[in-house]
Order: sequence, then C-alpha cells, then structure tokens
Amino acid sequence: MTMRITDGHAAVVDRVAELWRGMLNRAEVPHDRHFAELGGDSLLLLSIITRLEEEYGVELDVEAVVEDLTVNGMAGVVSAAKAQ
Amino acid sequence: MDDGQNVPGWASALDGELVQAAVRQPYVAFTDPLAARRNFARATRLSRALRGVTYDPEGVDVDHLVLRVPEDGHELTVRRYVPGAVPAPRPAMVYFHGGAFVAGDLDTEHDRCLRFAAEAGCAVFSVEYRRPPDHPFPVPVKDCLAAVEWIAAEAGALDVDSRLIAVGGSSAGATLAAAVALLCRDRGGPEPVLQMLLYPALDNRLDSDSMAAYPRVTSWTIEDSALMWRHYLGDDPRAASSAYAVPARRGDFTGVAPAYVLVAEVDALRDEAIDYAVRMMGDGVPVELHHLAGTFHGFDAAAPAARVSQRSLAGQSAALRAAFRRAEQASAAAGGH
Repeated sequence: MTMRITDGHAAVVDRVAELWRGMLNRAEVPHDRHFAELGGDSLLLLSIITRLEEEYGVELDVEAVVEDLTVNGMAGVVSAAKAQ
Repeated sequence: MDDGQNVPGWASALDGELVQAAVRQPYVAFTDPLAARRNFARATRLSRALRGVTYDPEGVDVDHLVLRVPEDGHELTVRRYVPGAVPAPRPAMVYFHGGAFVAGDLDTEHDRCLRFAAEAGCAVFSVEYRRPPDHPFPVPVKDCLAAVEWIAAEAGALDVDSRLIAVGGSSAGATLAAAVALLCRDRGGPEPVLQMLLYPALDNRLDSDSMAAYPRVTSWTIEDSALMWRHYLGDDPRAASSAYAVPARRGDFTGVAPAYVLVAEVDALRDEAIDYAVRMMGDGVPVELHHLAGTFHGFDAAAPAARVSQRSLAGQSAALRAAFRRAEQASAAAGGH
C-alpha cells in the first residue's frame, strides 16, 4: 500500500461507516462487525454497493465484498478498486 | 431506497413476514437493460451469500449441458438437476428463469430448481435462453422451445421419460413457458404435461385493474413494465401482435397443456394472469389457479423462509408431482408403456 492510498483509505472507511449507519438506522456501527449481525440484508447491501460505486466511480468485486462483510472489509475493497 | 421506517401504503396489504423483503427490493432501473441485468445478478448473488444456503437437499446432482439450437447453431447452456434416488427414466421439468426478459440467469432460480428436483422427483432443466436487448423476441422463446424439443428428442440419452415433460417459469420466464405451451399445441408436439406459470407477464397493454391499482409496488413500476416489453418485442412492429410474444393475444386455448397459475395479490400482473387462467378454463384446459392474498411479485424467491412462501413452494412441487402422476396414469390407461 502506498501512502496515497492509505491517506484516501481513512476517508473511505468513514464514508462506508456513514452509509452503514444510515442504511442500518444505527447511531454507531463497529467497524469489525459483520453486516448481517447488524441487521443488514442483501437488498440494503446492494444499495450500499451501488452507492459506493457511483460515488467513487469504481466497480466493486461483489465476491470480495461478501468475503469480509464489515466496514473495514468493504472499505478495503473500495480502496483496492480505486487504486486500480 | 426505503429505510423500512416509512412503509408505503401498498405494503399494508402484505403478509407481515413479507413486508421487509418487499420494501427492500432493489431498484434495478430497466431503462438501461444491461445495467439492470448486472444489478439483478448481483442481487441474487448477495442474497445467496448473506442468507446462506436456504435449500440444500440431499442427493440432487447438478451439471451443465450444451445443446445447439438448430436454427442458428447457438450453443445453449442448460443446467440440469437430477435426483439420484429417483430411478431413470425420470419425469422432467424444463424451467425458464425470470428477470423481466433482459435480466436473470441460471442462478436466479437455483433454489427453486433444486426443490423441484428433490420434491417432485423429476430432473429439472433450467435454460439459459438468450435475452434482449441483444436478442429480442423471437430468440428467447425459440431457445426455450429448442430446449424442450431437444429434451424430448434425446429423452433416452438424458434418462428422461419423454411422456412426462413439464414446462414452467416465473415472471418473464412464465411468459416464455406460456408461449412454449402454445407453440407445442400449434406445432403438434411435444405435449407438456403441465405449464407452470408463476406470476406470469402475459399482456403488454398494461391496462388491467391491478395495473392501475399497483402501478408502483416493491421496486417495480408500470414504466418498467412498458420498458420490459419494449426491450423484449424489439423493433419489429409485428411482434406485439404475436401470441408467441404476448400470450394474451391468443384467442383459443383449446388443447394447450394443463396449467398451474400462481398469482400474487399485490402485483400489477395479477389480473392479466387471472384473466389468462379463466380464458384457458373456458376453452376446456385443466387449470389450477392459485391467488395468494398478501403476497407480492416474486415473494417466494425474495422471502423463501416466510410461511406463505413455504406453503406456496411446497404446493408448486406437489402440483408438479401430481401432473406427472396424472400423465403417467393416462398413458397407462391408453395402453402406453
């Protein structure tokens, strides 16, 4: 990971967490908790992914997203897509 | 996207176990068919990944076959589900997935196909028909018919009982199943023992009472319906007048395959499906018509664990099994083997 990506990455984590809080209707979202444990379902997940793709102009690897379905995991996939 | 806090008016008519799934249906924007296709496929994958495996029967073997469409040589993929415990030759269900014609794929209805194989004791052949906008009518329906004809012709090699072939589909897949049933009748074969039409789209006029009552429910709009038909019918103005494209255009249903029609109450497509079923009955076609109160389009796929979905899914398998049994008895009575 280069410095450039790491810098941007903190902002991505914040944005992902913000989207999760809004979609899951929660004041706080631990960054290492699984989406399903927080009450998320596939339809909410799809809208979050679509939203992130629009905002960052990237295409996300859905398999990778599902692999680690936490705020940190999703932010990692977004940053990786941005770096491409 | 609805956050679940503001439940829209139409949702109050739904079974309580279906409300969340209904209001959270992803909007897939059918103005752009290729984007719709992608989002639809993703929704299926995400839902399977999050839900975990919802239905995993023992002893159903899944593989893929490729057949060549006689007309243009296209290599058509068919996903086959075989219940190993059922001795060959087995009855067969040829299934067409939903997805508004432009979207959906073999994964869309994987669970339902597994269930049919396990519960109805038949081989299931799920067809990867070509889709608009690159392949508008008549290509999708020709692909589906080619699959049925191929399975009938190759029944011996496929361990299929050629007397016991059913067709079915959901939503746009049910449109294709209805068209295939009409084609089989008009061409003199094969003779499906059942056409299973699950919340079918059958009429492109979009002027029914239910269309007016539910122009925008779940994530679907009447504008999407118009787009769906436009993508499917393509540029040929004659397509819309063909009953093989728009089954409601058919005037006489005498001799078409017995039908199982499932209709969801809170669905714009409700009345065109009921009307189609009633017209078939009027022409002497044996019809089993199920209207389920409190359900929405695709409810059993979107919320398979809900009790009303479980009840419906079990009923679909039972009806399929019964159709095979009926046909087998009729064949035996007629001195068949």
